[in-house]
Order: sequence, then structure tokens, then C-alpha cells
Amino acid sequence: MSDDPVLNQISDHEWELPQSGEMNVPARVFASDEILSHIKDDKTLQQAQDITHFPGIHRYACILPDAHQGYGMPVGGVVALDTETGGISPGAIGYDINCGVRVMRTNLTYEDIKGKEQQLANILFQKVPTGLGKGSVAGAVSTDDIDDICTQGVKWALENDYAVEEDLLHCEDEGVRDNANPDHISDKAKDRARHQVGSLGSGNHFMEVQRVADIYDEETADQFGLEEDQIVVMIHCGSRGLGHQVCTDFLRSIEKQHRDLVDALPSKELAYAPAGSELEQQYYEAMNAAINFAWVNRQLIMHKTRECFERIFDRDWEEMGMELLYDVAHNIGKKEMHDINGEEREVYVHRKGATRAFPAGHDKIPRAYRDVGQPVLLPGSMGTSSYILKGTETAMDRTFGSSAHGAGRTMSRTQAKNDYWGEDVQKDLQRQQIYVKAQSGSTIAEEAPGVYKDVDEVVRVTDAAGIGDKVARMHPVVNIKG
Amino acid sequence: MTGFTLLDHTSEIGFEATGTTLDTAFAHAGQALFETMTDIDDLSAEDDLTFSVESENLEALLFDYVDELIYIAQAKQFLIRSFDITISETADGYRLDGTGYGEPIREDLRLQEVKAPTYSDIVVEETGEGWTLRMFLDV
Repeated sequence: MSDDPVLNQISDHEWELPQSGEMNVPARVFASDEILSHIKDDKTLQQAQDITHFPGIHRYACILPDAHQGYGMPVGGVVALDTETGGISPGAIGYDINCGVRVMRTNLTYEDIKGKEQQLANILFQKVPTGLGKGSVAGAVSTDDIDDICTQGVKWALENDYAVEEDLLHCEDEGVRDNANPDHISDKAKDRARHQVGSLGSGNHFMEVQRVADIYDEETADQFGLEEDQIVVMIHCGSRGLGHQVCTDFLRSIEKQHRDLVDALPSKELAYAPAGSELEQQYYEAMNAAINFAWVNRQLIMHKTRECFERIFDRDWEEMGMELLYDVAHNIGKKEMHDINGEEREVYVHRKGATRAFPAGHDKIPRAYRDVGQPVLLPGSMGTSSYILKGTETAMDRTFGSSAHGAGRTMSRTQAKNDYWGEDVQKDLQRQQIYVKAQSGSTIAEEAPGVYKDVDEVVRVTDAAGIGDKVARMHPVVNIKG
Repeated sequence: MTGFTLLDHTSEIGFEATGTTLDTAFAHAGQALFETMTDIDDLSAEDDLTFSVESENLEALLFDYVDELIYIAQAKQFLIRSFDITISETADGYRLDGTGYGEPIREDLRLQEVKAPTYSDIVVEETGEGWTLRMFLDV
């Protein structure tokens, strides 16, 4: 690929990287001029071209407004591979299977928590395990428990008093993927998970207490149970060591069993299990099991958060209206039916750093939201806004029912630590009434607001391109990180 | 010279490790991995732990080795400050036998997690002065 790829502008916020060479389809980039300048700074466009080499890929590869260079496939990318002529690629889903976001609403207002922010930051940081080796909400669990979690998803949490029935109703797929088989998950993966059931991890994962700052769509916000100044809690994490190991294990198995296919790809990171192969079925079932594990992980963190709020506010969580608004994955592969040139076909939609964004009326979204569309949860960085959008028909038509997932980094962690001093960032945020608590100052420096793309611009473009309609903006109040 | 340096990547982190022999380069790569999790100078080397991996080629060996070390950190909750590594050729590729000197995870350590090794821009090459290994990690 040349250093300066030619992009043809299709509309204000949509560009095409035309099919050439060994590309099986073109790529489409959803961006503004400003975002495009960031995208051109790294290898995103080269990787966009690379992922079009997948066999059985339909229409085009999608590059969303928050896209940045990843491993093999850009983060912020979507591809749909035919379930009969294509396959499934662990690397196009990501190492952190079902990394995702949940938002819990409350009936508290900003006034209710003012003056208690530090206290809240302290207790959440103390009770919600973060980083490596700091324990988990469930404590050390047995391999049998891991198998049950992987099979039953949030139903396991319900049976073990970490959830209530309504939590399941407001989770993507009601908190459980069928076709989940932990027998395809290695002992190594299960060993890594035993100490991690209910833990945030580190990197860009976080939990944030936020206040609703703006409502853009009153009717939808009403359906989502959101109003200005309301306090909500956002939890961003994934399937921990279990999911990471599943991806690693299958990447290696595919490399060993399908070496000829892997050698024909631009990157080993794009290794795929071809349709009809044993590994296709095994990875699909292992991935579904890891998806269930991640939902349980976020559920347990939410459970612990409810307990923390009960201690600070001396009231039951039910009284504080601490209900799950929605939980949605942004690293996932799913069998879905999509319109491919006028024909309904089953495809593996690979969303890597991309949020499902189904429109009003779709039967895969909770009944409570079916009249308005699926909530799309879009976290910002710790000093900036996060957003809730809703899924659209345009997303269904243009991006296989997908939308952006966050801000996207623009600066390396090393550079961030050179440019920022964690304690300065923390103090600066506190002057803005944002209370941050992390394992170390370097974590805060690495995740400083300045190292991310402008989330407001990502959301503006997502909304303008029609692949997610703005509903509400939240502002951070308390943030804890690993 | 420490034998390794950490590398920049927009969203992740990497390392380059060198050694006059393949064994020492791999030992430095192991140290680099643990340096991304914590300051290895803060670790004692009082305990030890042995492990082995077998792979079809040297790139795969580096990948599987780092995968094994991530497993040791997360599942065995053991952190390694230094390594003795011996790599030998087998009928199907290579075998690495290692001893890691370190200690179990302590409450007071500040630790960052590494999710996985990656093949992205991976390098295992013999140079005039020995061996150079390069790898980017998913963090």
C-alpha cells in the first residue's frame, strides 16, 4: 500500500478506500477531516486494507470514527464474514473478548453526592479489585464455578445472589450467550480466571460515577430513565485473563492447523478459523463462554458498587434506584442476519472496538427500549464526557448495526508518561471536581485526557453519519482505575 | 546495558531485548515483560520456579514463552526478577527450559496487567553481536 492512500469521499462523513490488489472488498471510513487526520497518523488505513483480505467478507470493512491502529485489525473496526464461505477470526474480535460497558442509573442527583466524592472514590477503590493480584469480588473460585459462569452467564450471578432478575433483562442477550462450551477453554485460561471473577483489571478499564450533563433526545432519555443532573455509574472492563487466554490459544491453534491460510494473510494476527472447520465451531463456543464470563465480571462489580453506595448513603440500593440501564459488548463476534445486496445472509459480524447499535423495533433489544432503539454506551477518557446514544436504521444499513465505542488513543503510554505527571493530572482534575483514584500515578498519566481523541468530535461524527443518535452526555465525578 | 528497552505503540506497549546468545536474549525478554507489569528492581529473587515451552519456530517460541510468563504472573501469582534460560533444538522446532527467580505477588506492589503477547511486528533475529528480540504486548 502506498504511504498516502487515496480515499474517495462518499458523503460528508463517509469515505471509501477503493478495492485494489488482493482486497476482496473496499473499506469505508466514517470520519470528519479532523478525525481523518488522526487516522492517517498511524497504520489504521493500512490495517483497513489488510482486513479486506478475509475470504467471504461482505460489502466492505467498516472503520468507525474512533478507529486507531490495533494488532492486525484496527480498534474501531467491523467486518462481516459469511458463515458458509468465510470464517471467524479471534484477532478481529480482540484479545479481550466482550470487553464492554455497562451503565447503572440511580435516582440520586449531583447535589446528593456533592461533598462525598472523595469518600466514594476511597470506598470504591478499596472494595472493587483493580490491577493485578488484588483479588476479586467472588474470591478464589473453583474450576467448576468457572465452567458454570461460562455456561450460564449472568444467571450464575442471579443464583449466587450477585444479581436480580431485572439485571438480566437489561443486558445484551439477557446476559447469556447460548452455544457456550467451556470444554473448549484451556485449563490455563481457567486458572487465570480463578482469581479474577469480579475485577476491573488495568489499562484503559475503569469505573466512573458520572452526572448527566445534557439530554439531547428527551423521549429516548425518558425511556432510558435518564434526566439532567442524575447520577449514573459506568463500568468498563472485559473477560480478564480467561478471554485473553482464549484468544491467544486459538490464534496459535489456527496457526498450527491452518498454516497455509495464515501465511496467505497480511498479518498472523488476522488468523481465522475457516467456515466448516472444527476450530471454527470450537472457537465460536469458547468465545461465547468468555462472553458470558465478562458479563458476570461486570455484574459482580456492579453488585459491589451497590454495596458501596449503601454504605455511603445508608440506604438500600433499591431505594436509590440503582438499576442496570444496559450492558453492551464492544469486542465480540456474533452470528447475525444482514441484508447483503438484497439477500438476507448469516454472517459473523466481528466488532473490535465497536458497539452493536440496533434500531428501534429490533427483537434483539430489551422490550423496555424497543420503541426507541438500543442504548449505545460510549465511554470517554477520565476527564472528559461519556455519551449514551441509540442504535439506528442507518447503522443497520451502513455498518452492520454497529457504532463507535469510545474516544480512541492518539498517544502511546510511554509518551503520555513523558508528557504528563500523574499527580498533576489528578490535582488538575480535582480542581474540575473530578476525583480520580488509581493504582499508581503512572496509570493516571497513561490515561490522561490529552492522550485520547476528542470524544466530543467522535460522537458528533457518529451522530452526523447517522450510525448512532445522541441521547445524553455524562460528565465524570469519581473515577477509579487499575 | 540492561539488555532490554520498552517500546512505544499508540495503544499498547512493546519491548526490545538483546543478548550475546539466544538464551540471554530470551532471559532479557522475560525481564522486559515483568518490567511492563512493575519495577523489577523492587522484586526479591529469593524464590524460584521452573517452566518449559516447546514451539515450531523461534517467533512462536517467543510468543509461547511470553504467554507462559503471563500465566505465571496471573495464575500462579508469581513475579520474576531474573531468568536462567536454555533453548535447544528438537525434532519439531525448539524447546525452552527456564528458571525464574522472584517472589509471590505482594500486597504493597503496584502492578499493571498484560493481557497477551502478539505477533505484531515480532522480531527474532541474529545480528553481528548476538540476538535481538522484539515484541508488542496487548495491555
